[in-house]
Amino acid sequence: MSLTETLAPAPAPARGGRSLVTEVLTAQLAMTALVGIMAFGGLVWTSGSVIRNNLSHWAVQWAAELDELGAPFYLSNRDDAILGIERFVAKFPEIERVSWYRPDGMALMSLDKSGILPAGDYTPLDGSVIADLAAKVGASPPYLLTEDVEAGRRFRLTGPIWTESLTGDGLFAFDGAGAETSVELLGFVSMELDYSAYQLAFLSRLALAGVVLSLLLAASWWGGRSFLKRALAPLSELQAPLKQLAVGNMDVVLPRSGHRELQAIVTVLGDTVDSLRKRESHLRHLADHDPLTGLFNRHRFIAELEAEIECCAARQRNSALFFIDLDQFKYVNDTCGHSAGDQLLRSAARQIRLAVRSDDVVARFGGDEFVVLLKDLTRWEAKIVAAQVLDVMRSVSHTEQDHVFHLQCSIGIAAIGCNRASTKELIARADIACQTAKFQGRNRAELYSVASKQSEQMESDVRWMRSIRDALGADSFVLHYQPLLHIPSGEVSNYEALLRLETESGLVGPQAFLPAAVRFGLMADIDLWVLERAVRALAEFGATEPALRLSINISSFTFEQDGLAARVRALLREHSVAGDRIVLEITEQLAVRFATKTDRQIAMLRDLGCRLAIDDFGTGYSSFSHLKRLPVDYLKIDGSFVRKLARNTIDQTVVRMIGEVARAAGMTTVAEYVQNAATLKLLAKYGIDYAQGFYIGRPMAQPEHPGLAQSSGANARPA
Amino acid sequence: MKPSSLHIGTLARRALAITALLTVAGCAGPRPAPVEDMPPTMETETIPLEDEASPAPPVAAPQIPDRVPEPSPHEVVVLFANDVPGHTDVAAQIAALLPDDAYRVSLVDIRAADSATAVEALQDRAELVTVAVGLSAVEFARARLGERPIVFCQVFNYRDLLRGNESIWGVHSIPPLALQLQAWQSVDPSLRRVGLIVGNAHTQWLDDAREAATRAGIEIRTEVSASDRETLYLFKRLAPQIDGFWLLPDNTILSPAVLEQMLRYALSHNVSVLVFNENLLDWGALMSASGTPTNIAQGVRDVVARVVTGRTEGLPAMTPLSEVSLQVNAGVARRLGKQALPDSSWVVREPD
Repeated sequence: MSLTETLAPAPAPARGGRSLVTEVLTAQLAMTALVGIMAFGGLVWTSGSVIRNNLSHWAVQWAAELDELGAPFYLSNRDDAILGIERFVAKFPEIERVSWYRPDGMALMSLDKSGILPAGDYTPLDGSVIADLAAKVGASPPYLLTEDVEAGRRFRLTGPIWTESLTGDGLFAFDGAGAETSVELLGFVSMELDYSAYQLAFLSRLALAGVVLSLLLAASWWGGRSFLKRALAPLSELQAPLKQLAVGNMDVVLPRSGHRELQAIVTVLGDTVDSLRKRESHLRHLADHDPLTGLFNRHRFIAELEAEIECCAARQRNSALFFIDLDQFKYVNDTCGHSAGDQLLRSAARQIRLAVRSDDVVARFGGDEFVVLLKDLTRWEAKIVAAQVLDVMRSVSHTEQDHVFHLQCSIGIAAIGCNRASTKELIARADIACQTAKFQGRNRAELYSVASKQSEQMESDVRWMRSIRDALGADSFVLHYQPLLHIPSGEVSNYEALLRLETESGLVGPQAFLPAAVRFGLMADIDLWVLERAVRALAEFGATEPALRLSINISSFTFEQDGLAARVRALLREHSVAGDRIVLEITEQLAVRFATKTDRQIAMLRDLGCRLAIDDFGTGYSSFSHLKRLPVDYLKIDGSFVRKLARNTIDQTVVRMIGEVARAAGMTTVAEYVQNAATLKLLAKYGIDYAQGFYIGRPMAQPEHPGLAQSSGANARPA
Repeated sequence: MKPSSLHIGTLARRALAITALLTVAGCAGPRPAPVEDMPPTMETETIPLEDEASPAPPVAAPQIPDRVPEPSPHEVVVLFANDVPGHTDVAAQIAALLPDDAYRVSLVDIRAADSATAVEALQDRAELVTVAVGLSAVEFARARLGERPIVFCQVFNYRDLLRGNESIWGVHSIPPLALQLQAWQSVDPSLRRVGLIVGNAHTQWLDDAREAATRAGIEIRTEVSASDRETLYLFKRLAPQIDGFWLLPDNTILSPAVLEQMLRYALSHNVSVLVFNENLLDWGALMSASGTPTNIAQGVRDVVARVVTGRTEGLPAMTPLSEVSLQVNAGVARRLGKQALPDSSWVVREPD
């Protein structure tokens, strides 16, 4: 996967999304407004307190005037006194009303700024107030100051009015203290003070100040926004290169910034881009190259081949495709181990690379197969190059564990002309030519020719390829299910899903179309189809057959794909099927070829609960040592050992040994091709767990009911 | 307990007067000389008003009443309140001025616990004349001694005492108003307009004051008040119109609080105040004018002499004083921008 794919196109930035500048300024504005509100609240509270305190102090000052306010009580010329009081009241807007009361509390007179009030507006003093006021005669302070905020921010200053005269010889002895006096209470005077006007005036000023402050805040917000936008402009300039980066374009140039903080971001982004470039390069290399040999892999080679096909068509030129198969590889691998095999592959890759031009494309196609794309050359030249490759390979000896090997290979050559043949066709032609070379004695090169017998095979394979494609597209493959008898219990709960292709002439088994599928790279598609259909079938059977377990054959093409486990997990989840209800069968060759990768794949599948089985055990690189390492659950003994088991003592020995070894390794054994009771009896004797074959049951469209299976199994059960 | 008749005072400076009193009362001892009762720390002088450049004349010698051949001395009881210092001084002076060959004088402190007993002991004296120093002493005499003749002094508001009673005579407590005004003018030559507030009971002072002011070339503005509050009220309205305020001792329209406020107000408004009691100088008054104990005692002596001899025909109900004791508060004078004066006191006497 390339970095371009990894960094999928980022969603387009939402238009009208949140703006950092706006948010910062709004937060600042909100904080300022909050502080302003608190300050205003504090001002209101403080001002109220100050006004109240101030007025109370004024009230104390005015208390000194109470004597004069009480003039109507004692002044001989009362009219003058009242006139003076009216002027006094008019002079101070805070004074709302002045009232006079007789000693018994009855109102005598009351006046406000409009003059003397009608008698009906007078209110007498409370008795308790009278007593309190009477006690204020000669006291300090000689008045009562009460506040009634609820009634509209008022003070009421009330005091007694009395006269006092020295008695006896007081004037002679007078020294300011202790003089005898007589006191006469004349009445009470009350002054009501209203400071709400101050409060209102202050609040109106405050409101004006609030408006001004709001305007200033709005102006600062607007100004700050412009300033911040200008300051953050370098950050916005990063948007374009980051967009390019987001779509996988690593060749971006990040603008430098004059601001320290922004330059730090730019530097970090630059480092990130560098890291991404290296990572992309590494991933691209991994995606295009074979990790063992360092050559291009199949994927990259096909891409190169497609390009060359187009180029040949466009430029009217010829090129050639080599399909190279190492003749001795299997032997080396089997005798000297995988490490030696890997070494041999690396050596072969080097030689092939040396034998062709630098602009020719060399790739490892899989296993011990290499392909070479030789550009712009004739068939004759291609043959010469092939001969050179053979010579170079032959000239190299490879020593491993005291064994000396000479590299030999078979080369199939497919010419690339102007006819725009598909990559699969070209590869198939080269492969066919290679097979022909092997058939004709190995260590040689063969040019694919349409006139030869190979062309017939080629045409047949192409037909099958088209049929497979059609079947995949039309979903015309079908699964049949062959039962596996559990020999000790005689019960059938496991089936093997077997693929059939529906043709005009009827159902066709996989042996007819799988070679073509392999040649044309369709195995992975077929495996995934089988896998999906088998899991769906398990889900459908689940209601009636909850213990049913299906075995599914997985080819190396599919098993080597990294996404297999994820695909299996998705299928199981989609159909709500437990992982332990499927058994994935892989060949012994596959299991041992890339041990590390296989182990990892097996581990992931086992994590999903899936069971793993090694199919056709005993025919490939059969080695009991593999059984110690491979973490599989089932071992299917190849049918070649079972088919004639009743008559062949060697087969009997092999089967018995495999059974014993598998049992020791904790594996469950399955014997294929069980065709008679004698074989089944022997298998039971050897401790083989499951039997599969026509004697047990033929593949069928639907798994039989356990009872039905039981009936056939009863016949098959060893005595 | 010490008998009240012997309990004259506790101050040392009055020791001489006490000795005289004891002598008059029949005790042994030389007869004391007349006493000028002045604070020892103050500079005391007597200044003739007519000619300030001439040397101060001596204190007028007590006039000896005509001796009436009587077979026995006249019985005189002098009542006074010991808690009023001015009264004690006056009582001592009176006792000193009544010759012991003509009078048998008893001094009774009405504040003493046994004062009633002491007075009752005098009830059987046939021709007893009571000298009451102060209003309290007058009231005491009326309560204890019935209709016997009373000569009183040191009573500012005496009108009620005289009403409907023909056997009572008094000596003014206020020095002559003209004398006061002349002295005030000598201290404050810029004095042009003077304010005066009196109670309804003392409207006669207004006439005397107007006359004195006219003679001194001073404009006087007067108000009549009914209470201390009204006095203050009127004073505040009067203050902007006057240079000085003449405070006369009318206890019906004065109270300590009003006095304090008036004097403070006057000081803050640059109004000089002439008061009747030197104690008020500390409250912000410019100067005080009061009668001298000797002058008061002389007046009493003269009245007593006519009463005991029955020569009351033509005797005025109130005998005026002829001297005034003056005292200045130099600090207030400075504050008011008056001429530089030291704290001083002096006596001015009417010309003979």
